[in-house]
Parts: sequence; C-alpha cells; structure tokens
Amino acid sequence: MSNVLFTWRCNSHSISELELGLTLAQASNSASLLILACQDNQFTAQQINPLISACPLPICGGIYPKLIYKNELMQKGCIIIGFEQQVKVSLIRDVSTLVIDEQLIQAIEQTSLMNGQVPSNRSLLMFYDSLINNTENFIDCLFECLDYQTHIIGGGAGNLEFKQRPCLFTNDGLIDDAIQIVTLNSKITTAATHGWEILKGPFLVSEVEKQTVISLDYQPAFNIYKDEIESISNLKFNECNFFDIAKNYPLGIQGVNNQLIVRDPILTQDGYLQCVGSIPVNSMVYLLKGSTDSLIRAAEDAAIVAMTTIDNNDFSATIVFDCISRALYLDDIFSLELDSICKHSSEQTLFGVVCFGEITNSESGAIKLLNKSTVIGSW
Amino acid sequence: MNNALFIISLQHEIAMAIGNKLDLKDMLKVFLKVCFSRLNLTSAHIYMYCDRNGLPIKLAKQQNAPHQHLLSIPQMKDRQASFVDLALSSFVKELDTLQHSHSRQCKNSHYLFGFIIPQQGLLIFETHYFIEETIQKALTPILQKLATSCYASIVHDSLVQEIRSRKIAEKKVIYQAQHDGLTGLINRQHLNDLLEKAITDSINNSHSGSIIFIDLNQFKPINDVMGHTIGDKILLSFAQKLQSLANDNIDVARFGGDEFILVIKKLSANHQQKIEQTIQKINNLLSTPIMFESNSYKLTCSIGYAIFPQQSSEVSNIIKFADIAMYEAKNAKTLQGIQYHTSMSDKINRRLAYSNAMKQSLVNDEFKLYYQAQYNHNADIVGAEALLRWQHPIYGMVSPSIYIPIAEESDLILNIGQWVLEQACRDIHQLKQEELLDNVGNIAVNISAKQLIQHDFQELIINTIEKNDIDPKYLTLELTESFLVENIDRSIKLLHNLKAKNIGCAIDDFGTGYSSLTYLQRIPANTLKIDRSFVTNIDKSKESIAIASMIISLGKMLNMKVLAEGVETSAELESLKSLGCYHYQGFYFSKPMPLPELMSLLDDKKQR
Repeated sequence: MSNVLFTWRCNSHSISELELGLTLAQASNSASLLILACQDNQFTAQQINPLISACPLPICGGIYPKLIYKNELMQKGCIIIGFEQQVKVSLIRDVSTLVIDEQLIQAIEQTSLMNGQVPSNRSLLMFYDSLINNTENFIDCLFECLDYQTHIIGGGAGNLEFKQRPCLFTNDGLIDDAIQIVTLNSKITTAATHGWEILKGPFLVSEVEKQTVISLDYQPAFNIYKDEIESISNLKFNECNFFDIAKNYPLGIQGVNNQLIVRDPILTQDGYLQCVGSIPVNSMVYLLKGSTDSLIRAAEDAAIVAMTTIDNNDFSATIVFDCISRALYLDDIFSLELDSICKHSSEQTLFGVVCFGEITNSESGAIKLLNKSTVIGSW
Repeated sequence: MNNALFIISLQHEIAMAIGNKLDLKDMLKVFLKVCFSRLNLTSAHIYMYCDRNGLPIKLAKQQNAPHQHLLSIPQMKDRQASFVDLALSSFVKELDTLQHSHSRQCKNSHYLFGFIIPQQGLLIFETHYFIEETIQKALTPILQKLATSCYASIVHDSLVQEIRSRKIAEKKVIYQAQHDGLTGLINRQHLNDLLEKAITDSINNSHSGSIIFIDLNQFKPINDVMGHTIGDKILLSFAQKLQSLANDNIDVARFGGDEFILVIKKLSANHQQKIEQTIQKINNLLSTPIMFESNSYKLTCSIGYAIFPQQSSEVSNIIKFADIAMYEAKNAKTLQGIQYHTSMSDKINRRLAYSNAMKQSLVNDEFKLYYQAQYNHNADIVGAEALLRWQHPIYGMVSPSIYIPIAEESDLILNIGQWVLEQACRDIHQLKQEELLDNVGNIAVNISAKQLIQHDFQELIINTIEKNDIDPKYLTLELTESFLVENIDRSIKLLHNLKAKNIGCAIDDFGTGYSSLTYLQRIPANTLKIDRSFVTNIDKSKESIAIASMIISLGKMLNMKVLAEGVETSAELESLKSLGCYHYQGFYFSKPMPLPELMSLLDDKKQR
C-alpha cells in the first residue's frame, strides 16, 4: 500500500520554508516524497537542486500554476506528501526528441515500469511538462505497453506564461521536457468530468494538423468559431482578447455514445485554431458552453465517484487534477468547485493541482488527455 | 441527420487511417489506434491468415489457412499477453468458423465484436458498451479497404523481405569473397585491397605501417602425422587467437597454409616499439599449448616484417619483403621478428643468379667430377668418392657449400644429381676401359634427398648403369643418415632393391643425425662413414674417440665397413687405427682430383 504518512503545506513562497518542509518530511519516516509547488513561488533550479539532491528519498512532483489543499486554492506555497512505502519513480527525459512511436515504446520499456514483477493492484500517477507536444502519442504508447487494468491519473505541469522552464521535481534536480510516472502499490479509484454542454454544431473537422484545426466545414476554422460565438453573444473578437473569450467556449469532439472529449482552443493564427490536445480529421466537433452550475456540479459528480469506497476501506489520500481553464472560467467562485469536491472527503488527505491538461483512463480503459476537466483519484 | 453525419464522419476517419504505413503491422497499428479513439474501445486484436512459415497471406477463394495473432492493443491483460485470454481465444475460433461479423457479451459485461477482413484475417474489438448496428454496418466497407491495404502491405513486406534476403546474400558473398573459408580471417585478395588503402593512407597522412608475416614452425609434420582435420583445428585456433589482436588499426589475414599476416596501420614515429610489442603478443598467444582431444600442441612461429611506405609502397613488394624477412627468422631459428633489409633481397638475387648460372653450366658442361681416393690401413686404394666441382667462367671455382643448398631449394638438384650419376658411370666405364677399375674398387656418388624421393629413382639408376655398360658392384650410393631416417620405410625398400642389383650403399656423415639405432639395423648399407667432425683432432679429443669407437663397434656389429672421412694428419690416422677403423678418406692420403689424375694415381699404384 502507498499510504500517505506525512502531509505538510505552507503558503509561503520562501525557499527556506520548502527546506524546512523537506527536513520535516525526512524526519517523518516517509519512504518517498511527492512535492508540489506553485509557479508564483518563482523557484529556480539553482535554488531547488541543492535541496532535492541532498534528499536521500525518491522524489516526484512538479510546479503548477496553483495548488489545492482540501478546499483551499493555494496561489503560493508548497505541499509535501510523504508515502509510507517507497514508490517507484520512472522518468522519461528529453521526450520531445522521441518523435516516433517506436522511440516512445523503447523509452517506456527501458523504465522500471516494465521491469520485474508487476503487482496486480498497482496504479500510476503521471506528472509531466505540459509544453511537450507529444503527450498524446506517449499515453497511447503507454496504454499499448501496460496491462489494460492499470489505472492512471495525472496532469501537466508548467506556468501560465506558457514558457518552458524546469517544472518537475526529480532526484536529479528540477527538470523540463520530461514525463514522470509514479507507481503506487494501491488501487486507485478515478473519475473525470467536465460539465461543458453543446452550444452549436456539429462541425466537420475538414482539415487538421495535429493540435491545430485548420478548417471546419471546409472553411477557415477561426472564421466559423468567431462567427458562431459572435452570433450568439455580445462578444467581439479583437487582436488581444482571443483567450479571454475562448476559455468560455471550448470545442467538444463527439464520440460514440454521445460522450464529448473537450478541447481547449488557446490561440489563433492565420485563421487556424490551436488546441490543447489533438482533434482527429474527419471527426465531428461541437461548440461548447459552460455554466458555473454545470461545471461545479460536474466536479462534484467526479468527487462522489472517486471518493466512494467499494470495499469499505478508508482512502488514505485523494488527489485532484483540475484544469487551469476551469479556475480561470470560474474565477472567484472556483472555491465553490473545491468546496463541492471537499465535502465528499472523509479523513483522507485531499490535495491537488490546477494544471494544463488532465490524464486518466476513459470508461473503456484507454488513457486519455482531457481538457477543461476535473480528474480525481483516491487510494 | 446528425447521427448519419456522425456515422459518415466516423467511417471516413477510420477509413482514412488505413494504408498510412507500408509495413503491415505498423499500418494495422495506426488503424487500430484510430478505432480506439473513435469507437472508445477497451482492447483491439488482429489475427492474420498465414502460410506454413507463419507469414501472412491472402487467401484464394475457398482456400483455408490457419490464422495467427498479429497485434493487440493493449499488449497485456492480467499480466499476460492479451491474446492468451480464454474468452478472446474461443471467440476468435468461433468467428473464424462463422466467417461473418459476430458479437458476444462476456462475463464481465464487456462485448466482443468480430469482423472478417476479407481473405486476410480477423478483427476483434472489445468494448464496455454495445456498438450499435448502424455503426457495425458502417465498418463493413472499411474492412474491404483494410483487406486491400493488408494485401499491399504483405506484398510490400515480402518485397522488403526479398530485398533484405538479397542484401544478406550479397553481404555473405562479399564476406566470402573477402574472408578465408576455414578461419574467417581476411583472405589474400582482400588483404591486398586493404593494404593498398593503408599504403595510400600512410603516404597521404605521412605516417607508417607494417606488414607482419607469420609462419608456423613445424606445422607440416602435424598435418602429415595427425591429419588435416587436426591441422585445420589448430589453424583455426591460432587464427582466433590472432584475431584478438585486431582493432581499427590492425587487420589480421590468412595468407595461405600456415602463413598469416598482420597489417598495422597508422604507426607513430616510434613504430619499432609498437611492432616489437605486437610480435611479443603474437608469441604470447602461442605460449599456451593448443589442446585437442586431450593432445597438446606447442607451436612456435617465425616472424618477419617490413615497413611501408619506407621500404616499399607496392603491395606485392611489401608482402614479399616481410616474407623474405620471415624466412631469415626461420633460418635463424629465432622467435624474435626480423625486419626486412635490402641485403636479404640481394642474397636472394644472388641465389637466383647462381641458380641460373648452374642451369647454364649444365648445358655448357662446366660441372666436373673430382675423385677423392679412399684407402685402407695398408694405404691401398679401396674406392673413391665422386665430388662435384663447378668451374664457372665468371664466378671461378665455386664451393659446393654455396651452390648445393641453392640447387636443393629447387628441382635443379635433380638435374645436377642425374648429371653426376651419369658422369660417374661414364667415368667408371672409362676406368674399366683402362683396366683400372679393380684397382679403385668402387665409386661412391652422393645422392640428395630430392633424388631419392623421385618415384622413378630406381629406374634412373638402373638405366644409367645399363646405358654405360658397367657392373653395378662398382657403384655405391652415399646417403645422409638424417635423410634415411626421415624416409625410413621408403629408403629401406629402395636400398633393398638396389642391393639386390649389387649396388652398394654408404651412410654418409654418420654420427650427426642422432637417429635411433633400431632403424640403422634395418638399413641394408655396406659402409658407415664417420663424419669428419669426429675425425678432426680425434687424437686430442676424448669425446670424438668415444663417438668414433661407438660407430666402429656399431659397424662391426652390423657387419658394415667403417670409413673415416677427413683424415688429415698421421696422428688422426693412428688414433683411428688404434680404435679399429681401417678405411680412410682425407687430405692425408690424397686430395680430390680430376679423373685423369686419379687414373695416373691408380696407374702408379698398379705399377708398384
């Protein structure tokens, strides 16, 4: 079991506070440490590296825009989680250089993930640099290599300036361009919801280049997107406000059984729409809208599923990966979403991150990269 | 309307995923991944119809073939390969029998949907929901496209396989053309190419290189006695050891037989040290005996080397020079490598010139036979040894110790030997004409090793005797002890035949061969000739007296006449007499002389 033995948090951006936390964590008999930090701490590798390289315990975690502790949204500070047992941390570095599937599979096969006896109840946490552009290829390959019973939950680390900086805590220091997979010896219960609803569509994705939609219904994608939004709202796009408007109107890829996979448009250029996550050519997409109620209700639905015990054993911890765009959309009332999650927790440690892209298994078992979603896992 | 559009979009998206890669497995993987994301699958599997070799094939109509698992996503289920799953296996069997789309709900409430890829294989999807009929039907035309693409990939794969096989075959041919079949080392032809490059490189980059020529010592007897199988194993073992010295700057080649060559490239200014170290390593390789079938073979080698481009920038020359140096090392019986020097070639050229001169002299009749009389203790002449003299118009009188070894290296010794035999027989005939033959007793002629192993040697002797109309009893053949022993069975048979014809046999240089006395008893010889090395100063040497006494006793025991060669003083004569040796040859009695002088000497004796 990978029970949480030690929990420490602080709301200070001071490096010395983190140093204190690490000292306490090491004194706690914890076997491994998960470190989460806010981007606004402005920690640099030079500051962090001496601290974590001096730590003899396996380390994992990352720097995220904001952290979640119980129902609190932390703008600054750190959380340290100490695991009772040692967790295996598999690190894949220089991911952006792994261009083809064979390279990704080889990198996965070289990690401790594929070595030795695989416990039947293992689950995985995934922390990764959100600015690597082959996350979906990686998770496809990971799913191909893993036993299909393996549950996974994770989220992309980074900063709101969308600049690639070292953002993952490893025993080698703070690094970027990497994916970290933490093996828990516990079965994790997961749930993922988004709460976004169909506003208009469907539109045929007639031309696409990976994460960039070039045309919808054979017309420039941004033109369609802009016209539809401007026709149903008082909003007007100008050169500066794309993301302010787009964060309220994601796209949804229609799957079988009418489920929607949300894709977040983050910028436009030359009439294209660039999203977080790929949109397949020839697929059908909808323009989505959200409401504070639907989003908060969806988050609560996820919390209920993820925190309902199956065998009456209490959970040791619950981790939340909540999309940054939800926090930006809900803004001041994001605390209500956290309240709706927190109220379903019991004695377990409830913590999490606000992240760029959420990872979990779909209902079918496949691993998916989600946008604008709340992903919760308990073990 | 939206549903119809959705199905069309789904159909297009999946169809567009077909044929994006050439390799069959890669192509199907791309297809399955799109199916996964669009159909929200739990797992997907592909089985292909295969031939006897397990290679995917396209079935002809009415043809049956077994299917084999090709691909599953994910690869694992319950910690074992996905396709091992029992529910899946039985479903695949069922689907193959039915040969049409089929579905089943499993115990875990999941569904298995099976589709036929026409004439190619089976496609199975596992889902946690029921795929509606319209979507299932929408997949049917896609399956035909998938089958076409599978066939294209199979054709492509077989072409790739054929190209790969051809490349392997080409590589094999190139390898065989460049490597020795027995040892796998670089062969002579490839060595020439590599050496040419190395020499060019050394000239362009102002550095040196070396050819190290290695020849195993006494390897032929191993091959002769133990057979070629063992010989080959030893060569292979040595080759493997030598190969351990190979690196980017050292090539190891088999030159032929038991000859090997190392090419050392990019030598620094201090190349002597590197070469000596390499030679030391080669000798170290042989320091441990080679073991086969509980037999141990301790080998040594002779090593010669030459430096390029300083000593030559021609491939054939530099190899030849190293070879010449190797022969110098072999003659010197040294394990230290010897570097080639131009004086070695001069020596060879001199030998070549002598060889040519000898051929010419045979034609010009410039060889002469001299005779050195043999005496008994009463100073009576009891025989004479025919000795070859070469009076060359330019070289003058050449010593036999120079030209005989040169003649023995080639078949020239056979021509010379035959000339000696014929001339001796002619001279015997002349002595007979002059009625001096009984005064000389018999004429001894030296026979070389090469003459003796001629298949028709016996015939040649008899024919020569008959041609000159002489009594065979006047002819004695002198053979060295060491050669007789090396070819003991053949020699004994031949000498018995000649003895039956009344031709005598003397064992020359006796005492130097250290041969087993057991053999000596079997040799039908009349005379034992004590080597001159035991006669010279015998009056002053206890060791010589001991050896001469032993030979004399042996002669008596075997009923052979014992003759001492090289008697030069009265003291030596007296010592020999006192030991019981009564036949002599040497300057004390008379020098070698032309036939007319011998005849005068005999005439004088006869007059007295």
